[in-house]
Amino acid sequence: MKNQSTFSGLKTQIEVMKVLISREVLTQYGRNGLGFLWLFLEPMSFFIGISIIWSLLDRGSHLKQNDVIAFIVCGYGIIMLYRHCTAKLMNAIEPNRTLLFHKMVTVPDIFYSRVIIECLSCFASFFFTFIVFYLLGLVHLPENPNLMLLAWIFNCWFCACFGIILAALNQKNDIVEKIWHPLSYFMIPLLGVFGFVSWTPYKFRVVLEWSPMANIEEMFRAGYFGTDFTHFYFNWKFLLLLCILMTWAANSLLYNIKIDSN
Amino acid sequence: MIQIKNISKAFKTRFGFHQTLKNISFDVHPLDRVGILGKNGAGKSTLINIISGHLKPDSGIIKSANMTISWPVGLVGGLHHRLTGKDNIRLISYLYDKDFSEVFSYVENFAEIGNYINEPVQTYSSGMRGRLVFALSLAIDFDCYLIDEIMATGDARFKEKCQMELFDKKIKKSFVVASHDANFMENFCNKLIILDDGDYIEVENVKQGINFYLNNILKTVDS
Repeated sequence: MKNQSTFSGLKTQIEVMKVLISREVLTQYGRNGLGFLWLFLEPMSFFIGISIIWSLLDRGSHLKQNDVIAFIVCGYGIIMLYRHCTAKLMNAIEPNRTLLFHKMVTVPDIFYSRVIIECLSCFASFFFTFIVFYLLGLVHLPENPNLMLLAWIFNCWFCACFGIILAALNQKNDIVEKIWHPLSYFMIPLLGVFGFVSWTPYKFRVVLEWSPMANIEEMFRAGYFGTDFTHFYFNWKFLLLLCILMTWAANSLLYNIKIDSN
Repeated sequence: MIQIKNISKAFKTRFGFHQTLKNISFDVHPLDRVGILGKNGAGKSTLINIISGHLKPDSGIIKSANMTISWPVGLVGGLHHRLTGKDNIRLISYLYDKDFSEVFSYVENFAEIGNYINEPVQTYSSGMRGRLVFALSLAIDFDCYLIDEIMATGDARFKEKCQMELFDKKIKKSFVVASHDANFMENFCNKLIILDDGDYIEVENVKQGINFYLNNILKTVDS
């Protein structure tokens, strides 16, 4: 009996999330013009722009032209999800607040459906860009696709938890968002997006080894370039432990969010 | 029957806690039409939100035996303002597991908002929004409707339609209605809950209740 009610609760939750996801896609990308294609086009335009800038400006990395492009596409592919999760989860509740009046819609539903949208759309846009660049001969096939996939899973897991924790804390006290804006800028060097960890001086490398995003970046790039390319610094045990802890933190915060609207 | 038992709710404000509802209890029987009267800020919407389950009370419980309760049908909640009327109808029919085309044709017919049904709800006047949300709630079919101040926003024709629908067809339903429209309350309700500064009285004689409200509670605002 109890199992059945848990099961039907889960079923309702899945139904509600389906509705929320299509709702979200509709309001974010609308029914006009290219519509939901923007889901892919927006990040793709970002990849292309940054790749061009880097290809033109890069003088010191000793990477071949095509490796610069691969370096960028891999690096920003990972960072894109981090940026989207931190930014979009912070404002997840406000536009959906009125839907909470329907009692089957809960705060976790709203967060999970946004997480699913971001994970899928970021993956799709990375994947399509990669295919297009491959067909143009700009990138080669990954040396170790499984490692890339594993890194992407860690990326989704970490970014979802991190985004939910930030958003839940912000719900308690909106000073979090104000602190996060400058803090996120200071943290950019810690993301490991601008270079391989092996390029950085030893003192900074020690710091990067404890940065989850840098770990994920290194793992992802190791999958593309292969471990012969350079020494990659990542530790899957550290990531796994961190993600488990953050899942616990994110969920206990998430299920305690109080929305008092009168 | 829906039992509202010892409901209390306080809101945190800059000048301390404001006790909006104090120990409120009453029952809603099938076919009951409960009117909630009170000044602005007396806690009418809060009470309705608590009965719907949208808002958690600080203490007390809502027990419903075999009656489905609507969402708080009002101007504030329920609709997504960036979606069109049509997309809102689609969304809500999916949420409540109803057939979209049936719900849509009912709402289109009842709300009479014409081509605006394809425009975002944020472009609607409050009257149009009230029509849409009210028609939508009727189309979903609940046992008990919680209605928060939407009668007042409609024009004469809409009111006439509502009255027809409420008095004739949906007669087997229960209603909890918050409204300022004393005239409507007198015609419609068989029981009143009058809220005043956290306290409340339950009145079975609606005419007496309305007179009491007009003469005693509203007066204290004027003087």
